[in-house]
Amino acid sequence: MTNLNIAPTKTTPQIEFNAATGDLEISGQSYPESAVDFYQPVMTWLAEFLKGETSLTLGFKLSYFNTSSSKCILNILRLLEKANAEGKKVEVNWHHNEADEQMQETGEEFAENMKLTFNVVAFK
Amino acid sequence: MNRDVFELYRQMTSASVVVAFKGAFSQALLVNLGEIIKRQEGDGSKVQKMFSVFIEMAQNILYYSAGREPLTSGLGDSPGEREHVGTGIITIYDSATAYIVSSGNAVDTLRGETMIRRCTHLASLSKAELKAEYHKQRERDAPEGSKGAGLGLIDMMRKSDAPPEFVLLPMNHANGSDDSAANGAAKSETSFFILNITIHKTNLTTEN
Repeated sequence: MTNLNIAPTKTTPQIEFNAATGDLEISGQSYPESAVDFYQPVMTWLAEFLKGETSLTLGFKLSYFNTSSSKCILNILRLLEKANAEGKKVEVNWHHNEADEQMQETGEEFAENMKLTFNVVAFK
Repeated sequence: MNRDVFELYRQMTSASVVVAFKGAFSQALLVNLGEIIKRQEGDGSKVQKMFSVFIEMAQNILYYSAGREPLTSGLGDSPGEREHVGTGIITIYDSATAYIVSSGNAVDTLRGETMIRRCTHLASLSKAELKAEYHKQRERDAPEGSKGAGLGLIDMMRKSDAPPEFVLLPMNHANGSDDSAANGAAKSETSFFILNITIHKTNLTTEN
């Protein structure tokens, strides 16, 4: 399976999904005109990847995202939650700037209702 | 005419306007305005909050305003950018203690009345109830006719440090307002929806 790499823009995050290692990262800002359109190929890749692989680590390193991106992030997490329930090894790391309480809270709120290993991690 | 511009300039200066824009809200425009806001005001947590309210308001106008214009500027920077964008107004005032972010746009009157009911309900909720409502809504499939997730209003009200203000005003089509959506739908009455959100510059209230 090929990797998924999408370069960042002002309003869309960088996507670096490594199929060989299972290391996936979404970083940057996310407020495109259509979040659904942007995240569609990301969802498709993940669904395909989860058919074969048994373990993955997804890192989020976002500084800002709008509400429609928030919905798409939830959809990604629900997909991973399902895979986790099916016995695959899934870990999510939510990275936030240590000064960014808003992003920390947002991560903690995602973690609250998620049956997943979900770590909220501060960086400097 | 010159005097009008001077009057507007004086008003905007005395009211400490951070940014004010009236016209077509394309994605490219809101990105640029957002960058100007951050360049002027810095990148602190309060500015980030104000910025996110601004983006939700601007994208709401882009998607939902009944006043629409064809996008002919060629400023589109994202694939699939729509051909028509919504028109409206957003102002951000700096009141020394708070940022007041205001948006206004034309809406079909029936839709506007629904929005007022929704705002009234959301404004009656505590921060904890708003949080629950946000999570409930995020789990739902996007509402019919929604381009987003139906979360923008709830999110803005969660961020507001003072009771949000909202009002629906009748619009007068006779004066040739360019925000009128009356073209081709003579009976469709249009109103003007206004929303004000306040973000304190220091933590005067607790979050929950």
